[in-house]
Amino acid sequence: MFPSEKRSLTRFLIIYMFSTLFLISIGIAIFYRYDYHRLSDYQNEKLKTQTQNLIPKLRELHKSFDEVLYYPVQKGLNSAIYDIDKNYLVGDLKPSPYFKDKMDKNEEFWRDGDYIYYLTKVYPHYLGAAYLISRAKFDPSPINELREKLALFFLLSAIFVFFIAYLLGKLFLFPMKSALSMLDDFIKDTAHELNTPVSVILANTELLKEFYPNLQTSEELSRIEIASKRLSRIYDDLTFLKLNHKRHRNVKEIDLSSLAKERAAYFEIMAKARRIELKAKIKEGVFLRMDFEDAAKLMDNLISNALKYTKPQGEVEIILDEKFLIVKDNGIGIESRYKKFVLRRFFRANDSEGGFGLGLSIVKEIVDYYGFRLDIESEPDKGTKVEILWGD
Amino acid sequence: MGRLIFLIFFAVFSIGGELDRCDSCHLQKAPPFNVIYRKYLVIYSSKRRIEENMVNFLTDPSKQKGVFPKEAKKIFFPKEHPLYDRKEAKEAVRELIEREDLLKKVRVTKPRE
Ligand code: HEC
Repeated sequence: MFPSEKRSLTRFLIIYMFSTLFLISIGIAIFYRYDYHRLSDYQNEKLKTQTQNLIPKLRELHKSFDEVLYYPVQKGLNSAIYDIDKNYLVGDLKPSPYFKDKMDKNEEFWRDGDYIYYLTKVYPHYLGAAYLISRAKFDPSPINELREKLALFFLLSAIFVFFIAYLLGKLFLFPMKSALSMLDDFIKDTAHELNTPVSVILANTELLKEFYPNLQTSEELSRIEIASKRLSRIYDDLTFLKLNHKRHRNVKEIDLSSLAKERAAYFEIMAKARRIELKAKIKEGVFLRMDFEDAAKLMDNLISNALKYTKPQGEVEIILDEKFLIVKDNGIGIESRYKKFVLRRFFRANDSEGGFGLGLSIVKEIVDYYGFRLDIESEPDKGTKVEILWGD
Repeated sequence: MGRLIFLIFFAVFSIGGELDRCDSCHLQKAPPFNVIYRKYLVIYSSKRRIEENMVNFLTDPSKQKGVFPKEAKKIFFPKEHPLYDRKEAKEAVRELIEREDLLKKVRVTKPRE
């Protein structure tokens, strides 16, 4: 999967899932409210009937001339009666200060803690009762069950929506994917076709210099050499990125100091041709665990980038130390609005220079692979400083 | 000595209370107080209102038509109820309520089977 494809797919998935699940949640919330009311109404009604059954018993007591009158105590139900002035009379439900308020407001049902309460007026006032308040334990299990069901439903629909979204995304992205892989193949093929002629040119310029020593200083020949080296590097870059994931890295202690010196020397001709001064401050004996090819790619890209974006009479400096590598120039710099793009593949701030815009993206890939730090400081018309740090 | 006996007699009589003079009728021809109290209780609910209405009945019958149906009263008790002044009536009624209070008999436990 291409990175851009992955990005589009995840964005699509997020938006699609979010909006669909949002709608589903609204549906669930409405259903929950509705069913919650139904379930609690059921319990309220039950309490109400139980309570209404008490009234005939109060009537019996009122009519009775027995010495002892037994208040109707029922299992799972507490109740008490109040007179018309809202004074507690008798019952197995302890009076609460806020009951008076409920009687004032004539509230029928309410919840308090684990209990549901019911209040009803009594007339005729048997035993003097004008109000009857009762309570029963609220049974949360049907509501918990409802919650569990809805949570499960939400989960299942999330999974379902995810699959649908994934399939849709794949379907829509298919044309893009095939276009991208065509482009990729095209680049690979082109690069491959370029490689042989470039190697032939390079080999033959070497041979020319050897056979005709007076050509050693020929400016024309060295221009040919520089141009073909540049072509060959473009080839390298393209294959590097293309085959990056399959390549086997041979990570071991390598001598960065001598590699840096060699690369500096390699670019010397190019720098001279562009009348740029290439300075190298390289500390001896810097070793680092790294794949040799990665290290060379890293330096090549940094140096060639610096040379590319520096004007004649400018200056490029390579500094290697125990813990860092710096490549610094006083060239055109990077405008701040482009800064966040420079690490992207195929990005070029400036079309006047050649290249495919792969340089810094390769640097970034290598730096990320080894967990180094990459710092880019740049100011337009002042220059750019790229710093790579390893070790902590 | 005679004075002392008289005083004790008087004290006992007055503790026995205002209700004694009602009992002459209410223990015989007139409806018993426990019936009357239940009637008042079922209509007026609170002791404050029972007291208020009984006192009104005993002091000023025009204010209070009474809890017994008029027609029945005409047949069974054609005579007017004796009137009392407010103080007497109040005391008698308070005693009555105290004695007949139904809630005193109520227990909040289940009867043993
Ligand atoms: C002369 C007999 C007599 C005496 C004395 C008497 N009553 Fe009555 N009372 C009756 C009769 C008869 C009734 C029923 C008819 C009626 O309601 O008037 C009655 C009814 C009542 C009623 C019910 C009234 C209603 O609302 O219908 C009350 C209360 C009452 N008596 C209180 C008293 C009290 C308190 C006293 C003493 C202070 C008292 N009575 C003394 C004869 C008497």
